[in-house]
Amino acid sequence: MKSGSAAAGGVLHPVLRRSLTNAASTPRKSSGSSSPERGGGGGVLIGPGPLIRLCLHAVACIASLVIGFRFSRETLLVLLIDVGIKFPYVEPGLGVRDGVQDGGGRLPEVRTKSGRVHVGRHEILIRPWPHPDSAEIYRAHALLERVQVEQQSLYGPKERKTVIAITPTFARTFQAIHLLGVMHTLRAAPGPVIWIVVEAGGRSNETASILASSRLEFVHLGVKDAMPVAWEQRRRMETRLRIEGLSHVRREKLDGLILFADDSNVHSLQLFDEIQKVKWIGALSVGLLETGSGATETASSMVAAASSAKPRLPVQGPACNETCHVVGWHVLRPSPVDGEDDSSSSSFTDVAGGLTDVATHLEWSGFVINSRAVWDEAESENEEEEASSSTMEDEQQEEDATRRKPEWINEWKEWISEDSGSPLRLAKDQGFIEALGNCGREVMLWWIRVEARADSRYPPRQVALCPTRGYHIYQLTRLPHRWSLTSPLEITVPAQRTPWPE
Amino acid sequence: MGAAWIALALGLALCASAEQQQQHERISGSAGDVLEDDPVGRLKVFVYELPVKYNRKVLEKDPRCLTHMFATEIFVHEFLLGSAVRTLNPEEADWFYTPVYTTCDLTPNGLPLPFKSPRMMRSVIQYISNQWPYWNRTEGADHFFVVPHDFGACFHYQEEKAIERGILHLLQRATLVQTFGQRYHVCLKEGSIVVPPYCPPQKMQAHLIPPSIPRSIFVYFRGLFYDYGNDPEGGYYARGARAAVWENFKDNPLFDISTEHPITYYEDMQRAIFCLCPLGWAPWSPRLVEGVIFGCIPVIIADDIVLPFADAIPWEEIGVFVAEKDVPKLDTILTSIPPEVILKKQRLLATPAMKQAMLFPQPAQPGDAFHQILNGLARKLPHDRRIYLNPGEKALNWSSGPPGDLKPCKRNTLDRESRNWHQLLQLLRHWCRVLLF
Repeated sequence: MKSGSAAAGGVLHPVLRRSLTNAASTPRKSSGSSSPERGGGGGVLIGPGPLIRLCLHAVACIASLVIGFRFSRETLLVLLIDVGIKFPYVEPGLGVRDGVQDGGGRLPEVRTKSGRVHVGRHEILIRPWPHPDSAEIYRAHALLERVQVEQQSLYGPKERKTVIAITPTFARTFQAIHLLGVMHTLRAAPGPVIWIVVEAGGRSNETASILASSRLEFVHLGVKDAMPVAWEQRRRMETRLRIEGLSHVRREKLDGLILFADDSNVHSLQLFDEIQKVKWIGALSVGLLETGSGATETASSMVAAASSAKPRLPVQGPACNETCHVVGWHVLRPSPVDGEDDSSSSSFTDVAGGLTDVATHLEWSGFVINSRAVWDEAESENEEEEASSSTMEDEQQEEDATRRKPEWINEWKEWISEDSGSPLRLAKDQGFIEALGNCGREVMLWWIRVEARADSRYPPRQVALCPTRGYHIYQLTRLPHRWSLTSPLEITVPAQRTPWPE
Repeated sequence: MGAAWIALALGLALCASAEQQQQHERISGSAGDVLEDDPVGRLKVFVYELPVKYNRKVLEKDPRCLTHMFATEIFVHEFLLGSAVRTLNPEEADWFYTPVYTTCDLTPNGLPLPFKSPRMMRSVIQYISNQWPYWNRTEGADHFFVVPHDFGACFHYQEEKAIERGILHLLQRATLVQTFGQRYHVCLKEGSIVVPPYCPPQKMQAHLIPPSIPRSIFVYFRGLFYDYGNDPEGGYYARGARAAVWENFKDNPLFDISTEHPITYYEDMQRAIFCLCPLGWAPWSPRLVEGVIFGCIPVIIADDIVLPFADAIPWEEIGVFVAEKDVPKLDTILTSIPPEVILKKQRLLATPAMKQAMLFPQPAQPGDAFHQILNGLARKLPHDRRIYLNPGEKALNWSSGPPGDLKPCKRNTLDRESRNWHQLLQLLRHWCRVLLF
């Protein structure tokens, strides 16, 4: 059927369509505007339809005479539409139900009984100034905060232990980016937070200024030796810095949960709720965003991964059995052959002898330790004796269970025997380590090491004397300072590869 | 003395903690606290045995009917077949159910075509009135039908056409279980039971996130604002309300609205406080169900809408209703709601009874939407004496309706003559087999 095919093709009204097809079928005017057209209707006019057509044709003729060029009936129709005669439209919905024509023509607008809600075209109401109002945004944020506080009180952990975040850092180009990231995460974390920042190369002013603006309770420690450049040595230095932080916790007897928040890591806020479940030692799954063995290797391994079936994020963390007990570790370690990292899983039995191998490659940031585990045993026993004498008997047993360090936790001396310790060695029996994050299935923490290029340099600030700086002036690889140019650059080399002429 | 003080203190503490720390509240609507009622024992339903062309054959032809949002009719049938309210003795039944799948004729895109549905319904009613005397007894007043399509038993997807058709004449006296609900509308009969659209429960439960994740999105919406294919000029689709939302709030940082459907759609809903549920071509949408399951307060922008199970669920206390003409002021309205009201609404949404009542789980669980339908039917009992007609008395005019409806169900109906031919052919085939082998 003609109308059916036309409807399937486009959105053209039947009347218009019919008139166009009629115009196409009738013989056209051969020349100019003066020759009369033989109308399709013929001589005698019957009915209003042909009459209207004749009138239109007459008007078109006269208009053509006046204007000087051929003025067709179709143009008149278009003008009439413009003027505003309501031509019924094809009902919407025909495009959706493919090829089904449910009769042409439009239905009149039917007003339902209430008269308030009716079918048809409505105006799109836009207010004169559709921009957000700052007072309303403020109120909305107050509502969001109230809802979130309620959520925390209903579903979050009832008591929150202090989170002691230990961050090893050193002054470098990208230090501000990384350290500010950790700072904002810790400020957004619920509950009390103590931030221990241990810096290689001594306490520098840059770090101190960032910490001063943090509005957190922080401790700024410094280690005299500078951060080495090579990768392996860097890792060992970081471990040394962390041990320094742990010694501080041990000395000051800080109570809480120790989280190793490396400054370039990314933490999710869900992490802070999850670590409250830790009793003694917890293990998290850490997503390794960059293997750290160098930019080029990473790129090639990522390309290799992309060309293979599925690029997967290497995750390091506990491996659990069905009863959610830790039975092994997923570890990413560099294979000795070509320097590319490969991920492997190792169980306790596999590396019984080679525990050192696994241990050195596990990231510290994947472990959360109750700070009492690093306290001095003798002193804490004295404390308990004093405490137990004043409390009632049935409460005493509960407190003892939480306070006293269990036997499967190593002593400080045994644990930190050499410079490269590992959190794994804290436990004599690794089966006691708790797996967090739905048994290691959820990744709430991502490890990444991104630094500026080793040869990136920036002019030093014009400061008179800074005698306490711990790095040597000739090692230009470590000049972070401020990102501002107060003096012109020393060397200006003309750019040779710009696409536009000088 | 001391014990009395301690008891008083404990009591006060309990009250205070109960008010502030409770996670959910009891729901009671205008019909009372009925969400958890058990319909078993309060009514009996007889399920007609229909030829498979009305249900099973239709489903076999297109199994997509099991997952789209009109799958209610199929799952209600399945539920009733195995339910304790089913009776095999029609004499003791209070309600009669006709399992006909009228919304299963799908386009390649998956949208149901309603053009054959009126004829299918007529054919079914003719069948049951010929085979059993119960239809003629009351002309359908104690029968119920599930018609989950866009405009219910008006059997059309366009509102104007649906209004013009009106409810199918033969269903005038029957009870309709439908998703469409709008007050003063031709397609909503007095006494209909409005149900939520079907949303697959497993799919939604697979995307649940822990409730401690803070809700950080203020208003969330994903969907079309303009339907360029069907309404290019705008103003027709959703009565211009969705377009108004877009034009007024596309730059507002509080409104996370877009047409792109992300993979984390369900997770995002659980991180939002308000979820917009504006009307589309029809006033109902599955977003209401999704909002209830995920604890996001539904903001309903549809004038005169009737929400599911409105007599059992107090929707005014749970959702926020915004008139279509007030859409430009939506941000003012939402930000001026006091926080206690928002928390109360969230507590009501967290009630497990509320979430259960919106779902159609398989197998059925107590308190789910199937049971709410039965509760609704039970509340309409006992039947009024007047529905029983005297023998020979007719209340329906079988020849009313558009002429297209009166044609018999093509290709599917086997009237008596062709049935006889069919039987003859089968007999011949049987004898051929016997003779030849």
